[in-house]
Amino acid sequence: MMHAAMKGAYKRKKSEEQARLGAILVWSSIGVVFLSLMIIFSYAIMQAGDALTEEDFDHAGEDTWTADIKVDDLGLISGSINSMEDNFRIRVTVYDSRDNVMERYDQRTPVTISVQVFEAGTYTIEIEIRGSSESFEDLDISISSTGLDVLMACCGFLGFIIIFLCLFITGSILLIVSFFTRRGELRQERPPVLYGPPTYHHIVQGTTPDHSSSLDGQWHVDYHADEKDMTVQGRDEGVGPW
Amino acid sequence: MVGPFLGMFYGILSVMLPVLSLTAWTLIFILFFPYSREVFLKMVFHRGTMGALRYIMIGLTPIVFFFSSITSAGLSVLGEAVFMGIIYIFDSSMSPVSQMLSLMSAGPIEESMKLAVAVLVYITIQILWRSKPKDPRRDRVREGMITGCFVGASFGFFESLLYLFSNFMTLATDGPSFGSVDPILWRFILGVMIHALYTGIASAGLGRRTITGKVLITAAFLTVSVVLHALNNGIQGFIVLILEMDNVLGWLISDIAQGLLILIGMVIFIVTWKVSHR
Repeated sequence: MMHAAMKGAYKRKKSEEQARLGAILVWSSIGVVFLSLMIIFSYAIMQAGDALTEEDFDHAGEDTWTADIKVDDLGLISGSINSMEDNFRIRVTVYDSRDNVMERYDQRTPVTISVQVFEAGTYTIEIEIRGSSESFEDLDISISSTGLDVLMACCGFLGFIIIFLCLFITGSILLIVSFFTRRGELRQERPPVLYGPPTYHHIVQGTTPDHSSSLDGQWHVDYHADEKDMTVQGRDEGVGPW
Repeated sequence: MVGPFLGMFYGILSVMLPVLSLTAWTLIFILFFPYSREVFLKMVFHRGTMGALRYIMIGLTPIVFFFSSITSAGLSVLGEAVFMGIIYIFDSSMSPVSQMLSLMSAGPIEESMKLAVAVLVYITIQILWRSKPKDPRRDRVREGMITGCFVGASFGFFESLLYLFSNFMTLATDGPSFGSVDPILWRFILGVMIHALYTGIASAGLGRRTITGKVLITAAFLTVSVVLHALNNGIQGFIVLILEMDNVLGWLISDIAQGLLILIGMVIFIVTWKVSHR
């Protein structure tokens, strides 16, 4: 009997330690997420480059407009070109610093551009209006460059993801295991004890009933007694006189 | 290109502002709504319980928060992408009206998805903490509203993280202006709260006694939250896209109108909360 009690206490202690470790790991994983987001966001914002609108473009010839955009690292030139009213055909060409064509789009608006660049430098964007009756003023342009050391960003991001997942999954498993081993106890610890006014503690003197003591039909007592006809001490769990 | 210190400052703020907003609004909520304090302490810290269960509850809270935010945000993004696709089929040039419609679509799509997740979380909580005999001190309508607020706040937190990053990126690229600072302040002060408020309203029917009551009242409150959310997004779209007031005055008018809508939402929430008291 004593051995069983000690075993129970040991299991309870072990389960508690398991749950505590699980909670620490889960909260640590949240900390890792916040830290990694701060670092990644900071890095991305630091690398934010130029932004172009239609006002930044210069007239470079008949129906042709150009603008330069800088990229300070490996990165991306991306954006969109929309027409204010009816769609019309345009040709967008992205040149590198040596005037080589990197990408060309020849289509009706809206045009979405996305060009990966692999070296720092000044890139030129050329827009040619192909429709006969439309003008450059009909365009709404939003293009930006983002320099990003892709390798570093990917490695950093992957590293954080791996750390987060390890902590989060291990913590969750520990919590779930603890939860299922202590599920019965959880069901006994119901909100009735805690909701509303403070718990009404009550000492009951008298003969033990079969299940519970219902004095005024509103509340009952749980008690600790192995035999009938003995004095019991109980705790109110129902509605009291408040 | 911004310097390293300013970049780091903006990056840290992108993450810390939603955290601060979430903490502040949680404190305000549990301060002004005492029943939520009871539930909060019970659910999050498992007050009154010693040992493993306390740690289980402390550990489960971020898991449920994470699950709620990822699920509701993921489903919403999917729904909005489908809606955008449909709009694009009919209007490939994306006229201002179409753009405004796509902004307003966030109302029904996001609110439905958040409510779906709130229902799931609510059912789980009720299964785990069902009380026998039924405890008259428990107020299930309020528990439903608190669950809705929790799920809404998780969605708002996730959305604010992404939007604030984008807003700080714009601030770094374009430099400080009213147009770049206003969304940051707006998102910081109300980004988390507005979603918690709308989902809290939508979840007011979850705790009703009968299935019919649950369905009808939830449908009614969901409609209210959808209308408020859609109007909230639509006003901004209407002023900036249709009236073409993409200037300080336009943004101010839009802020005031949105503020009024939030006030209406708060009144509806408080009245529902008070009326639900049994």
